[in-house]
Amino acid sequence: MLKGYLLVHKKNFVRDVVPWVGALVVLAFAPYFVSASLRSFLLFLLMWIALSQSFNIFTGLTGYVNFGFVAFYGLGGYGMTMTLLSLNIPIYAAMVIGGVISSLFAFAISWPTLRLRGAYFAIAMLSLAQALFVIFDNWNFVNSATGYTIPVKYYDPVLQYYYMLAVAAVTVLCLYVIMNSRLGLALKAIKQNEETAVSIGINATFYKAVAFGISAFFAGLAGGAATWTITIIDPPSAFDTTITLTAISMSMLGGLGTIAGPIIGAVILYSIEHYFGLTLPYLHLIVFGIIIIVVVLLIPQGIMGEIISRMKKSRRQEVGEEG
Amino acid sequence: MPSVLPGALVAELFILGLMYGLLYGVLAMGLTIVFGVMKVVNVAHGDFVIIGSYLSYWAFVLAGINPILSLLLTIPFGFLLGALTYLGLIRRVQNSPELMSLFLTFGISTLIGGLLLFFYSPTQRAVPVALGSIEYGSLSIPVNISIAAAYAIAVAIALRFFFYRTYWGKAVRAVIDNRTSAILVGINPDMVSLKSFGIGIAIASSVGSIVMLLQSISPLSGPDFTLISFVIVVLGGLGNPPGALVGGVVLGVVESLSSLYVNAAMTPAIGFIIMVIVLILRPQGIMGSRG
Repeated sequence: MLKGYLLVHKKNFVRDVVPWVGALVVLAFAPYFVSASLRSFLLFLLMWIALSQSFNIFTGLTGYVNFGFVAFYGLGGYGMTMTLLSLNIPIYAAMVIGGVISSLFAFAISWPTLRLRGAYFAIAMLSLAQALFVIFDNWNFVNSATGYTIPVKYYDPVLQYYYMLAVAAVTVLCLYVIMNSRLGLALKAIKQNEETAVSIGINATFYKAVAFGISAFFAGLAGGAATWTITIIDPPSAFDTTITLTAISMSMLGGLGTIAGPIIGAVILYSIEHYFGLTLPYLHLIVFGIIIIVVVLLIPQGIMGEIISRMKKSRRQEVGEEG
Repeated sequence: MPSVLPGALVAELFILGLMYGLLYGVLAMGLTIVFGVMKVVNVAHGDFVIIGSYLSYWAFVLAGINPILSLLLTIPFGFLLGALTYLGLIRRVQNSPELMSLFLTFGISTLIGGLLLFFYSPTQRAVPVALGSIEYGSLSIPVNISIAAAYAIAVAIALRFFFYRTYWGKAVRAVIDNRTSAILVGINPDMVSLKSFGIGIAIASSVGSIVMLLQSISPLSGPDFTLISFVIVVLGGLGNPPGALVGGVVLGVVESLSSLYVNAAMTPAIGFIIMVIVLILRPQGIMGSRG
């Protein structure tokens, strides 16, 4: 029963899994070998992997553009910080609560927003994220414009690194499981043609809402882990549109709807941002803009999407020659 | 000094809201024409406003040109920029899935924002042009806002003339109405798209000049103008130019009057809440017809 839901078709397990485990082991031992600054670079790279991958879980699998993605990140950050400060519980529990809050928000807004198609959905989400910023900026319950600071007693850079590694790894694993599950198949059908999918009995609203909630959960976890590391959260940083922008650029460049794509995109773009961010501020925005434009015009499927479709093409040609 | 009566205050807020609403309504008309013709949602609309604002700002700083006069610069420049953007970029995604045009204009928005931030820093820029205010009884309406409203009305009249009295205007309406039929009767859809994108951006960047009369701007203000145009366009129905003007006025008046009851900083949230409610109840817009 469970197997039917989780793994629909078997794949080459060894070939699929070994590189990932290898990467995980290298990253797990990295803090013992690398400098503090490189560790911090890796931490934020892992955050971007988690964020672009959770963006991918919804937009990549359903084809609905979520321009309000940062709302999930910000809510996760606020949820984590506020439960940590008021309930005095372990940080991982606070992070999970942050993720759940973000996920609940996604379910709540999925009822009105997921009925909207294409551009309407994109606009509604963009506005919702902006509305959250305005509300949080003026709402005393969340300390309005001042925000919160995480107390120094929670400072632990190595632990922060491992938490972020765990968040990124679980997000990637979850995407893998979804893509090989009944949920993934349903989403694929919805992405290709929603009317047809509905007509053959797929409950599109339900599956979209589930993917939306999962995406929000992981973005919220990453938001919580990021807030712990940055130690400060206020409305401009929690609902910063550039977070949506960066997640979009990374997953677009690497290839939406693929597992390795957003990771490749995150590695390339975060390295660029990290390099230019120190010497030439804002230059990375120009680079991101050009990359999005070029990717849309030349390789709309992204790097991985392009590689996959070329591999399929050449395999088809081989079969054709043999036959 | 006469005490301001609540009635006069309400009237003043109403007039101010109406005037702002006209300007934003005209801005949103630019967005909705582009959507109607090409089914492309231009996420970079607000960034073209900021380009116009910067042109006016530098015209004022370098040559002392009043932002009202620099309209003569920003209107043709905006049209040219829009036409080039269409030819170089937008045209290539016209037949792709909607997702691609959303991403493309998002990329353009990022690029414009990034270029302006890189070269001009996030500093707020303003042009000190205060023209006093018109007093009428206990009402006091700033001249700057009146000029903005007058410009909006002029653009609306010009667009009305264009849409109903010229060949290309009628062609634009025909393509909005039914693209296939328009092509069948011999209308060149590429030319219509080129002109409507040019007009859309010319409106955006000329509104940018007018905005310099009203407030300070920074490269980061672009998305704010995009969002307000979105809200209005949704209120009026996507692809419905007269609806955008009505939507603008409704939003302007509601936001202005709501400042009587809630913290003024919260008024943007009111616009978004109205928009989400409209999206749920009447996705075709308050002016649109179902189907």
